[in-house]
Amino acid sequence: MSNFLLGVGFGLVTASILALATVPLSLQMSVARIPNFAHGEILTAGAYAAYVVNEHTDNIYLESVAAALAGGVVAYLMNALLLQPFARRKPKLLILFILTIAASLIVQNVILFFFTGNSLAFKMPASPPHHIGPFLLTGMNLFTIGAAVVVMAAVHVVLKYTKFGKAQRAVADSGDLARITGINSERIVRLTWLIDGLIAGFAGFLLGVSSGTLTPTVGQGYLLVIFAAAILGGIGRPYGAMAGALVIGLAMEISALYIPADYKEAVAFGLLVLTLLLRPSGIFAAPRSSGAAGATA
Amino acid sequence: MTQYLIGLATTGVVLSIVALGLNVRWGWAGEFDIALFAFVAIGAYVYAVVTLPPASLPPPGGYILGLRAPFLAGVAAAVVVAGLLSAAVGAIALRKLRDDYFGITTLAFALILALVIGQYTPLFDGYEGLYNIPQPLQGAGTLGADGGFYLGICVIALLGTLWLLHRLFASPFGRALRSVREDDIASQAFTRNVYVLKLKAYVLGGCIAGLGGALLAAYITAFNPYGWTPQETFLIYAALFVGGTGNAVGTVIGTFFIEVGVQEVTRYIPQIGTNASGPDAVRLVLIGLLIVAILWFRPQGVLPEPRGRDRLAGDRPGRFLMPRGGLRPTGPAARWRRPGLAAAAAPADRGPAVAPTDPGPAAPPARTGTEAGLPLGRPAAAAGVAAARAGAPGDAGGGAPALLEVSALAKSFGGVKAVDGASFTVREGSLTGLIGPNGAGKSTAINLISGFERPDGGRVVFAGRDIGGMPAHLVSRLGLVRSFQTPREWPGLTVMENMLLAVPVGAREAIWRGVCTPRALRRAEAADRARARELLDEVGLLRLKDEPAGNLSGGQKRLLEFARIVAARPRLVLLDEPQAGVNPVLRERMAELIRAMVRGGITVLMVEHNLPFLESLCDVVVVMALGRCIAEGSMADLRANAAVVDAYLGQVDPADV
Repeated sequence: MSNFLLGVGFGLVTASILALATVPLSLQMSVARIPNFAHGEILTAGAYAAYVVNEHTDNIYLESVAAALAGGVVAYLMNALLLQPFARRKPKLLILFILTIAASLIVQNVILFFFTGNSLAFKMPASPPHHIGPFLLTGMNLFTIGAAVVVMAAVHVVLKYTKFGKAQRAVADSGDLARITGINSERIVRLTWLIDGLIAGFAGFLLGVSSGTLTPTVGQGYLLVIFAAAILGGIGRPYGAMAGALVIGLAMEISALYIPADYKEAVAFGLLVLTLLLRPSGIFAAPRSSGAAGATA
Repeated sequence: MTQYLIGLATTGVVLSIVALGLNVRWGWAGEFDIALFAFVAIGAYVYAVVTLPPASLPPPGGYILGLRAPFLAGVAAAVVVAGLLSAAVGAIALRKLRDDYFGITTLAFALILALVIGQYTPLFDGYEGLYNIPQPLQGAGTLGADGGFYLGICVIALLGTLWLLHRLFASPFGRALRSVREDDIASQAFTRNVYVLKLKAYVLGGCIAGLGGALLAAYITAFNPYGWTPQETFLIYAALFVGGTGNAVGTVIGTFFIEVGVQEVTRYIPQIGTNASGPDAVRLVLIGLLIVAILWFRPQGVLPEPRGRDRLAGDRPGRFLMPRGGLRPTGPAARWRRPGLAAAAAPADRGPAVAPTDPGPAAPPARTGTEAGLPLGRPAAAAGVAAARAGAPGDAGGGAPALLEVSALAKSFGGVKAVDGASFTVREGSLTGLIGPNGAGKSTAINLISGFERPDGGRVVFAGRDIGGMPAHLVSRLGLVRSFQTPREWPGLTVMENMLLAVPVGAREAIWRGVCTPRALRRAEAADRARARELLDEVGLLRLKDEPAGNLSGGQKRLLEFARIVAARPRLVLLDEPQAGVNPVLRERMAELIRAMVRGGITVLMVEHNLPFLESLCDVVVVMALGRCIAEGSMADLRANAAVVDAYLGQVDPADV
């Protein structure tokens, strides 16, 4: 039983990182509708930026800020330089998907060029695990969970109560209609990508720390787990993404108690395929509504 | 040096075969497949364990089988297993999934497979991989040691694959596949089972990838799970974009360019500092930029997909139009000379002309009935119906049997009851209108009848068969064809290909027929081509027959849609607002075409908002409001009907009516 609870504890940490990685993807997909294959590279960029800062200081707040900024810049440029010019030509969805693959190749290999393919490791201060209730968590684990809660709350407030959030939901519902009513939807899309990058870059930092080693494929290796959480929660539904991240994170860590831990990603992929087959619009969607339409829950 | 050049050539040739597999999946069928290299890997592993001697390592190492089988047996096994696995993956992933989800599902499959092969060591020795995989003809002279003879084998395999794809591309199968890529909804409306077609493409592509995998394993003689990341598949995509998606020769050129050319050139990039991956990184960044540039400047690639050229053997139309048996009481020549679509639409002349040259069941059984002499097949009967209508416009076809009976049809979307117990009848040979205010459920009714939506309740009986809930491609095989509010042509295919695709050809679309009997297929198709030309001439599009349909103007697309429908030889046509976005001159032309259709024995049910247009054309008009049918009769009757005026005409400027 206590093993199981320990698993739940690790699951919460994984779910926190996953939520931070998934919610921005879902947010972007609700507005810009692009299945972003380069989303993993945004995380990678954040992780490497944090690594550069980590070489000089072990202040996790500075590292977090650097990671978020790097992710934000990469995501913003990816949209502004690549996707938006193509999107103006109204291409097929798959062409945009393929462009994000090209973006992924470019970003990943620029990082490979400058940082080599060697695994790097963050120098983190030793942090003995604390017993918190039934869980056994390090300071970094607690920081991760806390950060996830704060960011999720912030996303909620922005979506629900700010003018930007309202405009964003309007663009998500119908970009054309929003444009007619005077919302600058391209600007909303650009801002959404920026926010996407800020959160995802930060998630990359946490991912890099938690996985112990850092390579240029760290984000790409995590991409399908992120898609699993996003699709489970219903693509384009930020709140669903939070729930999806929780389900996938817990499933991965708890399964590791019973089957070899090497297969825990396979558990996530299996859940992904099952969701796509049985409820492609996500487990929290009404059965007949289309997940792609992207109502923000 | 020789060995080096032979090595480069072999790499290019083998990866070209792999790329041709992707060309079928993505280039022809439009399947965004990310798992391509998983099937290459399966081919490689299967070839290896079939040709290798039994494993000497004790468990948990080692590998399965170890049959010491000859080269060809190993290749055959690789192709078969890759094909079977493609069938399994495709059957799951192609079900009802959006294109991008399909890609993600295939990626999940590829990663799961890599994980299982890496972790479960008794299968293919896990991450260690397999070594000393046999390469044929290695001992034969110096050229054999350099791999020269093996290169010859690979070239033969490549030429064989190119030949196969060349035959399939132009065959009815290839055309149907490309139609699915261009617009799968339209393909369903014209009898194509999109799911099965896509599955066939996926399996065919998987077999070719498996062949490439077997040859790759024999070439590098070692294989492990590190060699086939999704990145490998993306490089093949890059090769396709560069060379020309859908063009087999372009695919080979693109593959040599990306996998050999760029690879070799970037080898000379000096290593900077201690970063051993530097040149690799530069190469992949360049390829990424190349993909972007080519999609921006020349998305069709260096060699675009070839356009189907319209040729008739000898180009002597008469030869193919004369029914050889002379079975019909009305002379074919007489019918030929009769002007107007009615003549071209007469659904009798193809059957006998084609039957002798086409051994397979040329059309599905349900259709042969239509052609073999149901009332509408006889021009006399059709003329009789037309005459009756001319005599008594308001009441025409009153005595004719019902062709379509809709009763208590229901469909809800969430809480909205779009169709709520609608019942109406369309009589054989009639031109029936369907009107109603916006949101009355007309288009949903059309979707339900034609099989594009499943009804929640009620019955749809067409020609005596209950077709409620039957999928669209089966409905259209019974001779019920529909149009769409915005014309759905297959934009990347030529006008002529659009016309040929409208004809239901059933067994002619089998893969084996495309490969084995291209001449017989061409002969069988000649009659369809000739008739398509006739119809295109009728609507004034003949000179555009080799133009991609996507280049037509809006009005021309409408005309093409009409010609396509007539070419399908339907019994019943559902027209969904054929007048939408059409200028007044063309409107007149279309009214004529619709009349000609009916004269030719085709029954028409037409949704339309333009009431004067309807009145000038239709015998009977059905009125829908709030999902129900509230009245049925001539326009004159309806004007007198208080409920109708209330629900519908009341909202219209009376001057219009």
